[in-house]
Amino acid sequence: MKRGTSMKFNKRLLVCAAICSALTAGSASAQEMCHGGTLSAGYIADAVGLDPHLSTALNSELMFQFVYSGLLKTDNTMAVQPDLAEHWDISEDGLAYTFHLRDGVEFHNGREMTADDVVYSFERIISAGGAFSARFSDVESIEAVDDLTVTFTLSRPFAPFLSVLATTKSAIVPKEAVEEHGDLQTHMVGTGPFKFVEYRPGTSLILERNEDYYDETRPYLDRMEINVIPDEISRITGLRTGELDFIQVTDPLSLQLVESDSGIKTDVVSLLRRNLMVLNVNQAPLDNELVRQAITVGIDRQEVVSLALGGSGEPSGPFPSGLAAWALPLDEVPFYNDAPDIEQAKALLAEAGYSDEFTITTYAAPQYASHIPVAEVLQQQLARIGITLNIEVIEWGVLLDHWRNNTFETITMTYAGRSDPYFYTFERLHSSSPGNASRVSDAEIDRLSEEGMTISNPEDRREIYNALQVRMAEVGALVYIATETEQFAMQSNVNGYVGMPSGGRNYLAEVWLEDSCK
Amino acid sequence: MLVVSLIVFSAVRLIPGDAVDIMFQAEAGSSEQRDVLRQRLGLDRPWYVQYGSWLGGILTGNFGASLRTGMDVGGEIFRAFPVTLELVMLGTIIGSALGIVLGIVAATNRGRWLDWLIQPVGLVGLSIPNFWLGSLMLLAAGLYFPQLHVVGFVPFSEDPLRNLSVMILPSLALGLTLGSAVMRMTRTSVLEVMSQDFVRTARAKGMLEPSVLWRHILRNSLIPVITVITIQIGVLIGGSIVLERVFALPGLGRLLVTAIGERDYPMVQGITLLITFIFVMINLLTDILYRVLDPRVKLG
Repeated sequence: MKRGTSMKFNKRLLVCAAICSALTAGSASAQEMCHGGTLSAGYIADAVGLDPHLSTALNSELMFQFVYSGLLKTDNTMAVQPDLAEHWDISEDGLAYTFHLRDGVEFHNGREMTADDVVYSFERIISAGGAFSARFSDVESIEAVDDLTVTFTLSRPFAPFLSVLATTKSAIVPKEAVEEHGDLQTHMVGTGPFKFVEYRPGTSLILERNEDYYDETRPYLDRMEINVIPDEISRITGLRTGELDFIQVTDPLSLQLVESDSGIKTDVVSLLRRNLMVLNVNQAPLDNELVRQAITVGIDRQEVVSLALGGSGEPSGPFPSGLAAWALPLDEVPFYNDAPDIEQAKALLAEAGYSDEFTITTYAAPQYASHIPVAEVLQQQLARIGITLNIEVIEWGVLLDHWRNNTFETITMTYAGRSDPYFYTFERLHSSSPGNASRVSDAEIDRLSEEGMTISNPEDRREIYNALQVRMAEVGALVYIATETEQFAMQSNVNGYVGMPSGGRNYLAEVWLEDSCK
Repeated sequence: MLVVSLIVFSAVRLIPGDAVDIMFQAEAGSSEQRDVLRQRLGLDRPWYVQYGSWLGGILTGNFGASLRTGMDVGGEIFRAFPVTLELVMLGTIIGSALGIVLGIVAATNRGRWLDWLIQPVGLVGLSIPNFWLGSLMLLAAGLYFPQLHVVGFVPFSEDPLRNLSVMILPSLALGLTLGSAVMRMTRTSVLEVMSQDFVRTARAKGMLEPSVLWRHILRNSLIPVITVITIQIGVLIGGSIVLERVFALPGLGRLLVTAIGERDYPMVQGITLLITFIFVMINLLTDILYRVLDPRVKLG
């Protein structure tokens, strides 16, 4: 670990030393004032381009998120919080969103950020094409009312709009930097807590503290080095030798290995992302709702967690439990019992006219660690209700091809989690949505998911989504199984890290090192 | 090379799965929205137009832009190539040196305990997959040599010591397989030459043993060894692809594996073309080396 030795650093150190020694007396909050030090992190994968608007990979977001800010951000409960916009108004009809920007925010190139930059950034997002741009298809116009006010006008009410703006990809970028570099894939200029220093593709990203960040006390670190180390053993070795301060761990066994080391602490974060089985409702016998219900009720979700997910994770209903404000408790969702009901499953199959054993095929890809183990456990469980599950392992790109073209019987995979119920309902199950891989077409799901998208009153929305969760379980096109977790290991002096259910690393920007104070 | 370029171009497109679909992952995205992206990337053009523009670009030194990042493929390859080159070169040097020395020792001690010790080691070295060996080495290094850097690759030109400290383990892992093959070949070849008449003549006329070994035996037994080394360089390049992942080295192998997973056509094409070119060059170099070692081999 390198230590900064600039004058600035020394001055801060002196100030800090004075304050800290005055307040040390066992108070943790006093230590939070510690500034300085370098955090060296070990990531599994490199960014696929650093441009927040052009890159499509989550691995890119995990790197550029420290350099950029958006109008809004999400906290670790997935609630929307102000960022560059201090407050906002929504018109009565739900069509106009007006944001009032924070005064005096500067880009890392020294220029002040204004409403024009917001307009430019969102126009750039919309013209980029891709899955994220598609979320803005209802935006009719974006206008800079004055230097610090921006108004978005929508063509129809879209209740999840704020949560779309709060994702890290809704970053505000300066036009001149884009023009200078062509794009921002290898160079970053934002308004976030850290400034870009150097990017070595495939190796590392180096960032330093933004001295002019709008929050004067943040960030605490002087420097952040993100190393790309795909191999788990290498990451763990780096942590044990002290070369790394923070790593992601994928294998629960490796987590146990480092847990026994003194000076290393671990953190398990529950994610919104969950494992599920996508059923194709156009293919017999899965075209029969009763068969889908039998599968839903016959699965032992807790067993999947303990056997396939290394014991971490939670059984999931139509909404993941991490979406706490919206998810119904599982005992209020039909067919999602605590324990599997083999009798009921067999009865449903008999009622559907499938009392004899039959075979269905599921696709799974080794792209993500959990998909194949989950499919294997499901194979055992479905055998108990008389269904032979034939697992076909294929490559991820091929699997996505089948997923998109509806050429499958079932797919065992994960869906990413987001902060608004819209993404779990309209995008996944509405008959008009291209994200509806099952090709389910249910009048009630369509009606409720449209209402949930357009009505923004929280009380009404909750009622709509409660009814919708029940209907989703009855239709059973997507059989939800269990949420996933992410595991991290870090040196014990790393403080202030909180995991995000979205899988984001937002709180790395908030980290402070205990010994940088001494 | 033209044929190769056409094969490479069509092979990557024959893999099922579409670059744009993979970019959308399992997200919503209507066919119009995907067409917009396809158009922006130039994938909506007929294949012969795409091939023509790619080939035309290559002839002027432009490998095209990565579908995923929009970055220049030539630049990416240029950055990654030296890493793989260094790894393969270090692996070759370590492997050849180790293999030739041990092979000679084994041959000159034929049937004695040194030979009995070296032979099984060679067999084990050949049989162990180098990525597994690499993982074991990493674990051991973490426990016993914490001063060795296992992360944070830096180019040789920037910090030679740190660079070597990062490269030593992967080069060893890579070199051991080659070393085993070379050792076995050297041993066989040296034994064969030793039994020939001109060696007996050399000894009979009173030449000292070291000079018999050096001037007569080695020179004549190295040709098959060189062949083995050059053939094995191909294996080394293959092995480096996996080892680069294990040791987090930003080389060609890692670039290629990622690009295939993402159907980044220009990137896969560029790297494959370069590796093919290297193979051709190595074969040419081998023929030249034969001539240096054995003046009887004529060029042309």
